[in-house]
Amino acid sequence: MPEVCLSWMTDGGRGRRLAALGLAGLALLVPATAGAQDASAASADTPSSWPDRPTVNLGGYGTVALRARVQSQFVVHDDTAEPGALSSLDDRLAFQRGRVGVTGELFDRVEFQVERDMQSARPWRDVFADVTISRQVHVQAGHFKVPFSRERLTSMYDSDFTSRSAAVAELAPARGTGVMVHGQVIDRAVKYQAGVFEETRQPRWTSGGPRLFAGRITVSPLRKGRHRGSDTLHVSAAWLRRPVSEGRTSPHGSLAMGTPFFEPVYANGSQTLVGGGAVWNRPEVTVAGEMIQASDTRTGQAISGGDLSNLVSRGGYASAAWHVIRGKGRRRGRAPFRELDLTGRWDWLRFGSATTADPPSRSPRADHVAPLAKHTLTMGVTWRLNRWMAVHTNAVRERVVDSLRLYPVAATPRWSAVVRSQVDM
Amino acid sequence: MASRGGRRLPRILWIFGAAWLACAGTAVAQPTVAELFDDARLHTLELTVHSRDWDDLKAAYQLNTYYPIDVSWNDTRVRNAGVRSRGNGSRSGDKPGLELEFDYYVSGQKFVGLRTLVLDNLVTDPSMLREAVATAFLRRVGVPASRESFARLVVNGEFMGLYAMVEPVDRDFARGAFGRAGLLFEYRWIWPFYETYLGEELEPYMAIFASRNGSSGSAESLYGPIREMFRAINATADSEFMDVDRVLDLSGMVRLIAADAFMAELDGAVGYDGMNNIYLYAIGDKAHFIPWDKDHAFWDASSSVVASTDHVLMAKVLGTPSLRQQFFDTLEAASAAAVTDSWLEETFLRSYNLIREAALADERKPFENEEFEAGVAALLDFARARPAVVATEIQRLR
Repeated sequence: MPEVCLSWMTDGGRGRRLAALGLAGLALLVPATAGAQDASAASADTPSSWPDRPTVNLGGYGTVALRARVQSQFVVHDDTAEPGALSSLDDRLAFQRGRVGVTGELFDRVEFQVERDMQSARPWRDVFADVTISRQVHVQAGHFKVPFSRERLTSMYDSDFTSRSAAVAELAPARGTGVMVHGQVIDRAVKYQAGVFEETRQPRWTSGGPRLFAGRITVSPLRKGRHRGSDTLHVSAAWLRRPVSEGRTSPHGSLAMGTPFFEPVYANGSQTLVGGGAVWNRPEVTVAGEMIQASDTRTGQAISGGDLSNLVSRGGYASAAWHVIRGKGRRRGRAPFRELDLTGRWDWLRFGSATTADPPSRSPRADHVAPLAKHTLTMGVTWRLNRWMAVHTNAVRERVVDSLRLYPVAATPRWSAVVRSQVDM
Repeated sequence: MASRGGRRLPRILWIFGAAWLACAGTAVAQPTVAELFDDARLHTLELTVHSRDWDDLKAAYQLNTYYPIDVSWNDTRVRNAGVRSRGNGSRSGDKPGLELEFDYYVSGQKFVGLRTLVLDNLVTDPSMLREAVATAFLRRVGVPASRESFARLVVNGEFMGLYAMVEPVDRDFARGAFGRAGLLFEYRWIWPFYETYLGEELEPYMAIFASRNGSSGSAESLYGPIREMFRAINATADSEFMDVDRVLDLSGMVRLIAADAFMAELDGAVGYDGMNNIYLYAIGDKAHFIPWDKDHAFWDASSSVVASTDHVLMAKVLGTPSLRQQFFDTLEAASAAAVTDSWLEETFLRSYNLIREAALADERKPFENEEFEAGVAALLDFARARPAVVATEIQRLR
């Protein structure tokens, strides 16, 4: 795999700022009619399609396509609420992601993907191969996203929002190195994914670390053409169990700008995640929702050395996107409004403990962890200029809810706004 | 039936009365701060902390990281308090000085009425007595000072050594001492500061006086009065210096430096290397001094009662006739307080007898047992010799 380096991205803060400005300008100036073909938004529940990319045909043995993606964003928020969180223009206007990679297939049986982030200290993202044994059975191995949350499995390049919901961001696992079996059964109405992973930030080919087990099943009872009035409905459930090392390793909560509002507590043993969700796609609107509960054991973590009750972290979201201008069909938009969506999401994340017998406390070794929650409302506009370029605008209102008034947190809501532009080729 | 009921009624009343008295007795038995700081007893304070946290605290004793802890004293128990390593030169990983903050994790939680409690590890004084006896002496001569008592500290069932439980100087303490709400500042020694005027900018004052008032108040509202106080101290002529009393409690200040002078305190408000170990408590525009950390008291019985006149305050006290008079009068009163009923010597002896067994058993103290005994002997010598030295010097200086 040749090293690919974009020099303007390593030119310190000034270079990044200029490049980000350039990208933002490019996204606004490139004619929206540049693409003749509609982009297809990939999600966890709809296979990706990457047409018209530089593709190498391997003479009937397969194909290899190049892929490059960049995102930049501009953030505005109330500095007085979180002094020092963001102050300079370099911080406000920055590249969030810049990735290059290859994807392809071999012998009609093996699909593969390799992607590298150009500015992360942990550069490798997806590095995997997926072998088709039959339609019902595929085996995927390498470094890729753990099958649990629909929103986590959806690439941020395909998301209508500039950030993931708090519950998904804090609770759902990201990538791991492992093996997964997946496929579709019962006339493709049921999709399953099950695997064992080592939760690594980078691909690791030697085993020996703690392993997590994850499984996800998606039922599609209303599929296009079978039920009038419905395009697709996917209902999913997921389960995951992973080891938790001793220390302040529990889930924690952060505000949009990264300021923590709930510090991790001492945990030890294992974490069990259960989740469920649904997404309903119609021509005019997409409605989605998801709920996640994490239960972390705290073996031997009491002040006295005994066990504490489980830390219970719950959260979820409900979102909707109104497709004001669609990229397909007779409602196809004209340049520069190829596609335009109005989006909204309400999400919440709450921390507490399984027992409430003792007086509530903020102590990281409390048996009764004083409950604390965050409610977030996100409203936005997604504008797709063509199949490569998009601009997302989100306004975010966050409010920390301390029902027992035990935490030193401000009850006043915090506002922030994000404008993100992206090029995905 | 009526007569039987009539006989039963008094019995019921009697039972209720006894129950009420039992409850009242229980209420009366609630421990008080005065009992915690009863310096006639050697207390036992038990801490329960996760073994990993305790190891972390001792390993990172230079940091102010808080850990959750349970605290037991007699029958009183507080759960999920916070503990951190504390001190400046006294920080230790073997025998950590500790600050317990009872409401760190549980809002409003207190321990016998205290929000915090300092556990002095007594590692800077071989006698282990200076601090506790010095604060007792200050209170005896009318200077507001922390109450202290000695305690055997037991952590997770293991004897950690002899400690002093010290009443913290916080806003509750200051309000109790002066009767009114105000703003509290802790002096931080950064460079030798001799009460000079540091100019119009607030930053130098902010650097050396740490606000202990939460996040309330602007820099101007907090530090403007401190700047004005030092401007007045330096700009006012000796002949008019009593006017400074509007911004600084001169009487209280003189009482403190006179008591320090009797105790030959090296490191106090007019210490050998500038101001040190004080708090400022500002009520309106007027500031009061509150002493802290007296482990360098009773240093040398032969030392002069007049600290370096490099200190603007010391020079002003000696240059202002009424303050000079008050200074010597207070010194004489302090000396009398020390010798009346041999208070100072007897207090050293009583305290020594109280702590001796625990001090000798304290294997984490950084001194040999012989040094402990020698340190106590030196204090007894000080108590016997100091009054005569002070009397002679007052006679010479008056």
